[in-house]
Amino acid sequence: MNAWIAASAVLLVAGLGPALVVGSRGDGIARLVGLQLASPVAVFALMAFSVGVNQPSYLIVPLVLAVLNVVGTLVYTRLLGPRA
Amino acid sequence: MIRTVVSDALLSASLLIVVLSAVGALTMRTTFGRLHYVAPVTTVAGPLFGAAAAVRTGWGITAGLEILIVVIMALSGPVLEIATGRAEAQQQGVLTPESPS
Repeated sequence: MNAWIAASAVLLVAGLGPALVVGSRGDGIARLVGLQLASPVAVFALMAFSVGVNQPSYLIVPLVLAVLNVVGTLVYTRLLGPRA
Repeated sequence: MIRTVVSDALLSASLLIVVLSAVGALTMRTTFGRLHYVAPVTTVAGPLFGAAAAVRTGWGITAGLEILIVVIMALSGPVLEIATGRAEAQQQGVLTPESPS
């Protein structure tokens, strides 16, 4: 196990774990904050795994997740906010 | 050798910021407080993480892709946090949906 795979494991446990807890408490917008925290942590964990196993082609997954995170979160803010 | 040391130092700093932010967001009670802890993950830890990955892999198309990912995260993160904060403020009645700011 090299440093990058260890970093991926740390991100999954100490980063994604609290994010999932935040995303499971409170009302809709409070849960959305948990999703906002979880998305970049997941992107970093996937990037660290890609670097750790020396497979650059795996980077397409965090790239797609980073782009979809923007659209998905904006849709949630639109749906969870009060209607005009 | 130096490349490994620099890469590991940047990676450690990035991980420290992510973990502290996650724990901080966990301890906050309000949505606005939690949002303040989410911001450093994309704006500070992200560029550090991308720099660590780029130093580790060396300059090339792979490093470019890694930098592209963290740039997307760094640019979109504050926008999403503002959108979420605005939705929360509207829900609390602090802002009206018609309010421009």
